[in-house]
Amino acid sequence: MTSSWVRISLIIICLSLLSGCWNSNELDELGIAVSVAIDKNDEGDYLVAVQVINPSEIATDAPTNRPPVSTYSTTGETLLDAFRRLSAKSPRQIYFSQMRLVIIGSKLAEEGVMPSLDFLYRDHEFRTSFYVAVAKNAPAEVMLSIVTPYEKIPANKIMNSIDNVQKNWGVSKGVSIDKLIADVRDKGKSPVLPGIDLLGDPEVGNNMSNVENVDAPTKLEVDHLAAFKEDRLVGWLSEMESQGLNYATGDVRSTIVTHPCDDEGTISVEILRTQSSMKSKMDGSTPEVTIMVEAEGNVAEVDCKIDLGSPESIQEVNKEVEKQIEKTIQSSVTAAQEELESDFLGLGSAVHRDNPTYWKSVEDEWDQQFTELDVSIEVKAKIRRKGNSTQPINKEG
Amino acid sequence: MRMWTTIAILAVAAAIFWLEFPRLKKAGKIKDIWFFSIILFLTTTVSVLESRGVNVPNPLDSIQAFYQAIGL
Amino acid sequence: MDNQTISPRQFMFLVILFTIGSSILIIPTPLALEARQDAWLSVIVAILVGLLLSLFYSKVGKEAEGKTFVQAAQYAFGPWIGRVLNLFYLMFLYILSALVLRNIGDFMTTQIIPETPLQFTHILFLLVIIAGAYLGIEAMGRSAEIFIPWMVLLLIFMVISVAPQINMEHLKPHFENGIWPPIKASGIVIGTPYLEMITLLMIYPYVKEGIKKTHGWMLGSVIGGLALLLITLISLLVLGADLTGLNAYPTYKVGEKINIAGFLEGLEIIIAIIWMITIFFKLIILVYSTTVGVAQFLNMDDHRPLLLPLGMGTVVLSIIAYPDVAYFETFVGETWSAYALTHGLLLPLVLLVGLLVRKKFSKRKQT
Repeated sequence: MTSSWVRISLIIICLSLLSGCWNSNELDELGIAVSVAIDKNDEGDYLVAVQVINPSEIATDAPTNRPPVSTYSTTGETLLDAFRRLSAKSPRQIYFSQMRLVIIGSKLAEEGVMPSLDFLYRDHEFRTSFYVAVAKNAPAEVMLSIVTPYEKIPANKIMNSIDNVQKNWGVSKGVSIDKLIADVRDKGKSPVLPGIDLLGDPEVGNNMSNVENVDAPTKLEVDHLAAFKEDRLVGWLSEMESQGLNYATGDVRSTIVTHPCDDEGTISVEILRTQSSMKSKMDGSTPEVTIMVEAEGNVAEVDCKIDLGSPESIQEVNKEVEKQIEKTIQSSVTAAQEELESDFLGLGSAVHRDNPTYWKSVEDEWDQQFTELDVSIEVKAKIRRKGNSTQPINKEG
Repeated sequence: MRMWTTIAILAVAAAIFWLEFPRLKKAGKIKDIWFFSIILFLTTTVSVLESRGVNVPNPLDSIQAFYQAIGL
Repeated sequence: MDNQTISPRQFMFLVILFTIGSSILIIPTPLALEARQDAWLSVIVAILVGLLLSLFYSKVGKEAEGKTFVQAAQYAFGPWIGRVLNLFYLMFLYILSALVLRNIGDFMTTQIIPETPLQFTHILFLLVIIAGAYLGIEAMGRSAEIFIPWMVLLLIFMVISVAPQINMEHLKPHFENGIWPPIKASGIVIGTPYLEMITLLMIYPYVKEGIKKTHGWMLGSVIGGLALLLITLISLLVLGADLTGLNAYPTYKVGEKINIAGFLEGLEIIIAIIWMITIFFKLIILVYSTTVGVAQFLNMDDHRPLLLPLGMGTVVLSIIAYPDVAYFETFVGETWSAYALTHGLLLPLVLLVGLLVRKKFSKRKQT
């Protein structure tokens, strides 16, 4: 009899306790941020812009003319300071757990990105699944205000584009924040970040009218890789150098290799899979690093007079593809060792892994040491198939 | 604010006492009642002190001091 | 205390959960800082030491002939000296319970609900534990049986989900600084949880007899240790030694990386659930053992009235134990090994000697 009263009151207590908590956040009080732009202004203060979703525009079948996202920007002495000041501009509390992308302005990138990363890594609201990129030809916060066609949330568009480029072309790649931090902290490696380009007029891009055209006049595009030395931006890699880097680090999935035929014309091979490794050996007291890449692919586009039926031709194509990939990787190594003097390939990490005792003696001066490093490249290509046509369609007989 | 916390703690202590006392009394275990009450009193006091911000000595400090003294 | 018994298999499950307990939360970081990419070796060394410890504890338990640690100490050394020994023993257990409670509280307020005051998390968690301890060892054993399969499933699920992100190169260079640093770092895992297994000597008498008892303890400590090895390895393989040492809760960060089919994210909470389950069991064992110990110390028949008052004290102790995480890291790094060694090794050794002497004495009396 008493016990049933006790039971009922216990249940009521549990129910009332379970209905809320100290840290409760109602969904409609949150401003879900999908992208953040960080830069420094002329006074040395942090410039922060946040791209927040307009949920009623995203999750509806009848979109009005209102933009799907809104941006708010502030300045502050530190990053956290700037973020807090956003509360004056934004109607809702900014919620960062769904963030997809952080764009760093080139000014801040040249100064060094590590100070801004501490808050992004330490705070529990940020997860580690977002990409970091560098704004190449426009200020970072301008890039947040561009409305993109097809994909309503611009941050998603950029993230998807980065993934696409990495998967299908290999001249750029997505770098998440913990990879970035690990690479900066690693004495044997420097990070790279993808670049974002703004094509067209930002004023037009800011307007919904940008996406009312079939061919939007203002677009955001993923560019090649930015090379860093520790955490400072030191240069931009060309298309070939970016691709070479990706080959070396095993980040190329699918791409094409085009090279000229013997007489005239070109042949293109579609690479389907690559596997790479970097191994280091000691030659006496000097280290050497070998970059080994294995690529598998199909013949994709033929515009020359080659006889695809003979195995010798395929072997020749193999060799040409290997030479081409080697050249691409070599361009990246040259850029690292001679032009930019930054080990963004991670050659130092390879030396560290395979020759730890030697590494201990050089790790502090690796930046100078690695320019003299002997790097050899070995590529093995395997062409498997030729698609639907057994011979080039141009061929006679 | 401080007052409310203290009251809450005392209320909890009272509730604990009210919960346990009848059972103990029925079993007639006077010794147990005493031990129970003493321990309850001690822990309630420490809780109230802590909630009021009084610097309750931390046993971990003494442990650390002890082991440092004997050189470990 | 209440004439309940558990089967050796249930005991083994309790040992497993106790071993994983709070260690799963707090050992990858200091291990990565000291042993770096060889941290996995530290865990293996610790498992071997833990095996020996469980053999040793079983021996002590056997000599105690059905008495708990507290009862055995007062039997072997008499009511006064025995109580002195027990004072140290019970203080060890009490402080340990406060620290374990603080572990889960810290984690919750760091990663999940930072705005909630620590006390409330502690109180809510402890209330459930006290309710369980009220019900006795049988309920604890049965609950362990229920939760173990879930633990296994969740662990396997986590490992499989992050498997694509494993990079074996992260374990290189092997033994960069020699083999000594990882061996030295194994002290971290021995201190937590293996030396703390002395707590289980309060429960051992309630396990049904049989050779399986000892086997249960040994097997439990090994299996629990293997789970710890798995967690440490996963951290190292996915994040690398550098980031593992940098993060306060590296396994949680690993959980954040779970990304199934490109859209199923946010499953890191599964890790939090695993942690809550294992810490729950370690803590309930500790609370039960402490309370029973105090009751036997005071020659009370029933430990149950003491649960709530002692629980109150545990909450307070968990708050005042350390003002901030830095204090905690120093304490664990410098003092805990010595403290755990004295209470986890020295104390039972003294007890064992006492019991053996007592046995010889009474044998002589008989002849």
